[in-house]
Amino acid sequence: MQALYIVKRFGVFLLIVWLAATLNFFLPKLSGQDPVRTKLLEQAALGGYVQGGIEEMVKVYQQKFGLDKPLWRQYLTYLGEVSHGDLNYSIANYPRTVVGMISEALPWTIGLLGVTTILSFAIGTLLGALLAWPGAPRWMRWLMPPLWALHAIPFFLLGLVLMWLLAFQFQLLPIFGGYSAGTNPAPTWGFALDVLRHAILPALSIILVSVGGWALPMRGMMVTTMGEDYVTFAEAKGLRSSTIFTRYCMRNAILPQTTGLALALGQILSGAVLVEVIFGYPGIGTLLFQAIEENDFFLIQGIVLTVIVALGFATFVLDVVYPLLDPRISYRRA
Amino acid sequence: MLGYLRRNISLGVGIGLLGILVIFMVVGAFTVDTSAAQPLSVPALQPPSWDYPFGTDRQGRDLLAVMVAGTPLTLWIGFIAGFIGVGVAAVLAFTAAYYGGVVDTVIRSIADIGLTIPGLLVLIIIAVSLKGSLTVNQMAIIIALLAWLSPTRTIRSQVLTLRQRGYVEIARLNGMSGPEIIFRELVPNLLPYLAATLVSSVSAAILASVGLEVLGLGPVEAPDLGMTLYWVQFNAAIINGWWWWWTAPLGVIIIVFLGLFFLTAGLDEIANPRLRRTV
Amino acid sequence: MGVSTSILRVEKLCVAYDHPLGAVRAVDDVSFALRPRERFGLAGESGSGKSTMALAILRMIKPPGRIEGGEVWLEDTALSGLADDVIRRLRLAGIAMVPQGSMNSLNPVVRIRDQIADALADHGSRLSRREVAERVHSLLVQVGLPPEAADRYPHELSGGMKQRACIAIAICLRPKVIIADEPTSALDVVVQRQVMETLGRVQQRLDAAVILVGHDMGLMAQFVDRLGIMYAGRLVEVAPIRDIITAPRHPYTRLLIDSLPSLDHKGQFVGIPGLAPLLRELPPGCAFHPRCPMAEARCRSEKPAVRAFGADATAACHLA
Repeated sequence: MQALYIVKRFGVFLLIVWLAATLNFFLPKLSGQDPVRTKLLEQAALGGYVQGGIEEMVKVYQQKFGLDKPLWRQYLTYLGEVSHGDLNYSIANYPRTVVGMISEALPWTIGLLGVTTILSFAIGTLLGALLAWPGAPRWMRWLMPPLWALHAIPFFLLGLVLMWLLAFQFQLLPIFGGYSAGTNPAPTWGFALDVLRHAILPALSIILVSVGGWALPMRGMMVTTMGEDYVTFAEAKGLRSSTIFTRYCMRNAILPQTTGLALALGQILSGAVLVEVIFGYPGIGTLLFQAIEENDFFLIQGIVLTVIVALGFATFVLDVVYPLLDPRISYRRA
Repeated sequence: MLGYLRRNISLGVGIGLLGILVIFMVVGAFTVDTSAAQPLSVPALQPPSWDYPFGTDRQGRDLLAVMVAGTPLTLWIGFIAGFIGVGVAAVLAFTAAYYGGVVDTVIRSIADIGLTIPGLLVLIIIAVSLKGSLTVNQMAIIIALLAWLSPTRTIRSQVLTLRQRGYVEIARLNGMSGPEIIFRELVPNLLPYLAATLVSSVSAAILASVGLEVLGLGPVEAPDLGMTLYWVQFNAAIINGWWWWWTAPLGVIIIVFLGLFFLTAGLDEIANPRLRRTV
Repeated sequence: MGVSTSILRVEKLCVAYDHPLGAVRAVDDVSFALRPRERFGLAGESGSGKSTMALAILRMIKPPGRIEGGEVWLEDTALSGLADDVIRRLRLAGIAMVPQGSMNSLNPVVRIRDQIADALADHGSRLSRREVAERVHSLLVQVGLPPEAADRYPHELSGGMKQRACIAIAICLRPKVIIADEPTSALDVVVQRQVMETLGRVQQRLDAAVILVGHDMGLMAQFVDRLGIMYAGRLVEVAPIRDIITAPRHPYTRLLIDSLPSLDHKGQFVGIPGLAPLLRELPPGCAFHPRCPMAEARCRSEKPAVRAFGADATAACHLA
């Protein structure tokens, strides 16, 4: 039964990937624009080419990128390529491949997102739990309204404010990029520290906004949990306050939160994309922004697909892990 | 009424903030010359002064005029997308929850799968294809395409809880037809909840539109808030020290989001009496 | 009711709940003494204050409730003056509560074994893993549960098994007093009997005293030595069980006994007319007088004091 559940979940994952790929393929075609021609025309306008040679060039490129074949063939070829991990060449940065460019940017994004999501979730959940607990220090109550208000604004807006405040006005932290301009990436402590310094502002923009979003629902869940019969019995058992807090309250209150995590991933990612753009952080977001600016269609498609696949996979992992956390949900019934 | 606002702080703050915006827009429409929101209208890069209270940007727009002209545009996109989104969502949710069975499974699955895919990315794909030729209304419609996913889910679960209540059964036994029950019994009871969902949907739509615009995918001609931020980014206004250029749209956007957020929280409190608790 | 012969003594206990419209007395001036190894029943309608009593004895009343007055003695120790940590350790080790296990009293995400083990650990036990496992095993056997239950989660057990698991937890530190709060409420009759037998058995083995809180008079009649009846927060009668059934002193008690269906005489169901009063709006004088068939003028104006009838019985009625 366990295997069946995992297989079903994986099936959903594959379905999502297929759906994303299909949408990715068909939606742009609806606008009737030809990405290669558009790009070439744009370059021609910039560079002052003679109009005559355009059509030949377009034909060559169309062939190269497979755009001259009938639609259904293109679709099948596309699906085939995608399953092999071939996401085509980048139009603007030819001959670099889309996969190549993405693999350079992806680790930065995963690093930033991974760390910030885990930190926000951990800090927010703990804070929310403490806010509900009568034994917690009183000054913590004052944290709630500002965190709650911060939660209302998008990440990148806070990013702008922080950037101006800490990087520009007070010159505490670097404004731009993933590491100082001119340095070469190398596995040294110096470089690691540099990367860390550059990551602080983007990370803070995300964490400060997200924490409120985790804390408030957790506080609500804790209050509900604290009213349960088993918590009353735990107290009647003479258990220590800390035991009741962790094992009886938090352990139960955190369950709905983790489902929230799976659902929030998409939103966190969307927000993070904009944060990267603001800070010029060399991740997927900035890459996407560049691609949009340069009308590099295949790169855009590739990024969107990669992101959807990554998110689908993360959701799949969380789906499989959740029954492990809550023994009441058996693999069979889910 | 005022007494209630004092108890439901969120609602009060929300209405207050949005009220300030409305006053700003209305007064501005009458007193400020909005043609100055177009490029090359005024001298460029002027810091705030008596002539130009919000300063001017690099393309020669009077930023006060931009705010007055642009804020309604941003809100318009949000409202259109939000309304369409929640409207569609309500129809789908009520149908799914009331009729159950296959209909429910289909609608629910589509919504669930659609939610796993981050909306912004799909919007990006669509918007990129239409780049450069997008109008404000088209943008609203595109965002509406995805705006119905999340509300469908939440409204559906609310309807499901209501459906089990006694009065629905009685209505059915009395021979009321499906749509009649939906309109006469279910909707009135869900109005506060629908209102809260609508406001939060508008907020999400504005967020999506600003997000797209900052990436450069919005209606380029329109002087709305997101596009202004795009130009800020494009011209590296922060580094260049043209602080007035970005503080104005940033301030207005923050007021918009905070206002909508508190309004949603306030409406939530009305909709769910159990939430009436001080923070 | 001498001081040195009681294991638990409640003296003029008052518990109030603060309410915007005025404070409400959920427990009003209640006194009784529990002897070692005695089985004491505490019966009453919903809202009579019996569960609040149980919580008050364990000092678990939370705001907006508070203990307004009176004292609880465990042997020779007054519980009100004790520090928080001392009281905490007294719970389960000195006075243990058996809650309504068939409901939600067990932590859904923790195994039964660990719910016993954490009680042991937090009370300073330094047993090794294997010793704890042995202890759990013997406890489960005592309450009639299969040893495999140790590895189960609460949702995998039936109502009766969950109740017995709660009993196992309650006795793991050999308490002197066990307070069983409606332990058989949601169970069917057959399981009820099993649970009560288990409770009786472990009580005898531990030489502990039991307070059985509930509203099932038939159950009380079969299990307890003495019975106390609560009404509107007051302890209106206490007497040995046989006496209460054959010669109740308080009219309320009499009506309660009369309302029990009998196998010998078939007839109409007899109830008690009227409803229990809202604690917020208690009638003047005796709280029961509006429903009392024998009420006199005095009952309507003067609150009856609790009077003793010998060493084992009390009653709060002008006409007793």
